[in-house]
Amino acid sequence: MSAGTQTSTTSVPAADLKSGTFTLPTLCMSGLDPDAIDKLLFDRVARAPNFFRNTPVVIDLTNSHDTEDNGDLALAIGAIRGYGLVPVGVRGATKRQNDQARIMELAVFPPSRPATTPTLHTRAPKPESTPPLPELATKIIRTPVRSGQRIYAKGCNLILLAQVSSGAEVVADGHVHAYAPIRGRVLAGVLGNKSALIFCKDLNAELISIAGHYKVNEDLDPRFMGRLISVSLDGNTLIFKKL
Amino acid sequence: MARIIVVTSGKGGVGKTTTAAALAMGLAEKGRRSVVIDFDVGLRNLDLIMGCERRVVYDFINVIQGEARLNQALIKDKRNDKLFVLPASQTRDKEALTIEGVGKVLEELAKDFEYIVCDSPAGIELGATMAMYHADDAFVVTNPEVSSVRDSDRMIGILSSKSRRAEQDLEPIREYLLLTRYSPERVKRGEMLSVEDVQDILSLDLIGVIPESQAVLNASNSGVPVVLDTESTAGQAYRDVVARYLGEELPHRFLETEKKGLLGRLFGS
Repeated sequence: MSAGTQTSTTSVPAADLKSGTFTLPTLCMSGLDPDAIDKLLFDRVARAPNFFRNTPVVIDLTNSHDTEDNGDLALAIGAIRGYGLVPVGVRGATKRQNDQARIMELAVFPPSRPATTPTLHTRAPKPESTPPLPELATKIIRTPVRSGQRIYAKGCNLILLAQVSSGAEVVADGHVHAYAPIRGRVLAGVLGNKSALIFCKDLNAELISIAGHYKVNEDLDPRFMGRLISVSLDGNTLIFKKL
Repeated sequence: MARIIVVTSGKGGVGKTTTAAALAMGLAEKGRRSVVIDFDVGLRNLDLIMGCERRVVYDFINVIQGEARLNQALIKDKRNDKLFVLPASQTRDKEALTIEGVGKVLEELAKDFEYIVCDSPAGIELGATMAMYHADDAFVVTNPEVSSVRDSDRMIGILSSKSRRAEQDLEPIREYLLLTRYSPERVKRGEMLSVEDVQDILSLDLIGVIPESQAVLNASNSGVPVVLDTESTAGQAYRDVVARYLGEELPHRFLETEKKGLLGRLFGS
């Protein structure tokens, strides 16, 4: 019991800070009957016992106001703990339930906004995949890209910290940032992303392309050669800017 | 443990074999037991440059295929007893080379030698990849002109992706840039890339610059590795390269145009 409370007090600030991105599984209770909870959890826990062991959960009581009763919340929490879950707080509860929760040293979360309460019974499978959310991962290249080599940043941006030799090709679905001389071919947004950008510290590319619109070295404006520039696509035209 | 050195370039005619011969002889002169292997199956030249072409009985391919023992094929240099040559076959084709076969021969050589110099054929096909696959160090021989520089760049890319060290995720091959046939006069006239240009394009450690020299051709024709020609600038430059490779710190020479005196005109070339 006290161990459970300990977890609750330490993880509250963490959950608070990341409330938007870090999802705690939420148990949406439609009633507080311990037998009903048994029914709900038995199967799920049996399917993934490791996942539920010591997993912090928030108890959502939005839909269980009707059945409220002084004893019920405590029993329900007890039943949930019995399955190895660690209730860390409640939300969407009535004032009375909130008071009860405080007595049990559980946190009281503000009621959820509609967007963040999908009507799932638990959000159990999500948290494992959500926290390391790769919001467009970036491929970083630290060694020279030699003639004949090809680098493809699939589905992500590309950062080049070493030169790209003439005869080499660097390709990204997203943006390309080059902090070393570019003498090869550089292609951004190859899957057709017209908002892809190219940043180049020392432009001398053989070919530069965004979403299939390209310029070869011969057509590049000499004013931009060897300079720090950005390239974007406006309609069908590549726009070069000195930075 | 023996170090396996590959002398490579991608492009032909830049001085790989000259360098391999000079390097092996230079290391032997420094007292290191060395062997130089010709990987250019079907177009062997190393034996000519080493001056042992009339003593070839068995070759590298014979050893790989178990038709001869290694010490039957190794040719001891007449000038230096620490240096051996393993010639290529002129009659077979390079498909006879396999990673396992080459690896086995190198393993056996490693028991007996400190340095194993592999003279790579031109190109990036089988022969070249076989020569570099087992390497610990690579000498990338480059002429100061754009096509050679690009081919070297390509070769460096292959070294870092298709070698044993790359495949087994070991410490990568140590790559050294060796600029050959360098002519400060032509650089000055803008007809040739300068050392800085090449280094800028390849971003590689420079181990030496070998000046263009008549002595190289003379040495090849007479079967004497140019490193033995201590009078010539090329020979001296190769000596410096060997010393640098063994850890000495020496300034680079022959990078500037020199006003030659009468003696220089007569003897320096």
